Amino acid sequence: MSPLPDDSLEVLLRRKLLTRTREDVDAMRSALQSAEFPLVVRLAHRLAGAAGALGLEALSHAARELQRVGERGEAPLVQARLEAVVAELDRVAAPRAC
Amino acid sequence: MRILLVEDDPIQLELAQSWLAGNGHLVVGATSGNAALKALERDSFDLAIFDWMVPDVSGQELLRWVRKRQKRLPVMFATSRDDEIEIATVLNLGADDYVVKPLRRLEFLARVDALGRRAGVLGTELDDAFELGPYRVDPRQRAISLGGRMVKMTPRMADVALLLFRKRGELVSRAQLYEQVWGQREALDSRTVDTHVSRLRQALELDGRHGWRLSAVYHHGYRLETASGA
Repeated sequence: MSPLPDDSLEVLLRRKLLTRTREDVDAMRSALQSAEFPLVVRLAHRLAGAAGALGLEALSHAARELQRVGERGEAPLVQARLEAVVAELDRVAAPRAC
Repeated sequence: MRILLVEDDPIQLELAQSWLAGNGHLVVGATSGNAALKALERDSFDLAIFDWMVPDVSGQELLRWVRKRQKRLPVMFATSRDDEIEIATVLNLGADDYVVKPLRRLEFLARVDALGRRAGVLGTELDDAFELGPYRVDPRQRAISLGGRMVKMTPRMADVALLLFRKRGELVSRAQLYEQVWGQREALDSRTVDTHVSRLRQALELDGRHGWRLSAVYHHGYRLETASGA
């Protein structure tokens, strides 16, 4: 087994993920306004998997929580969890963290 | 191993592909169920990894398709949740293993290799000599004898023969032969493959008279099968 992953690729994919997640957040906000929870769940599910695989544990955890409340369709909780994802996204994207 | 990896998220697909490639595997990626079905129909693989949730054709349907047509293909599922019921469902449907997402590189690679070893497509047991009727196949020596007589072959022909003998009964695509024997991932030279297979058929008399036949599968590749077709 090769000892180290391709770090440069992982850095690139993290950047891609953060850019895509900004767009996803906008889509989830719109979806939430029309109570379109399945879209929120799908995007949160995708984010949880990608962030976790890229070592962004806290972002992955926040996305899993968003997915969980999205599946229950509880709008206020979804809103709160979505903001938690955004906060984590901001933290990860801050220059010292990325 | 030659692996089909089905994952609808391009980021996760690219990451897992790079992990597997870094571990010496050849990976064909598919981002939808339909793309996966097309790849399964036209190509051959040593192992498949399916995401449980993919667009258009579900992981469950993909697994049913595989179990109907390629019973021996080892299948691993990537499930998103550590959910006992979902995991039991996946295994009861005929999956050989599962891994919980988010994927962890070392665990993922270890599970893939472990499944490859269990399925007999990866590991030291591949080096053990074996017999098939009058044929004796010795991977360590890259040698095959027929009725006790050593058959003269070029190293390339021997590599093609070893792959076909290992995967006897299964369709081996031209792409797989080209990648695994010539180490080429692009610009498949099907004429090169066909020429070597033709010489091999002649040299090893794989025309059915010794109980084994090397058949061409139109547009796909080759299959080493018993002369009865069983």
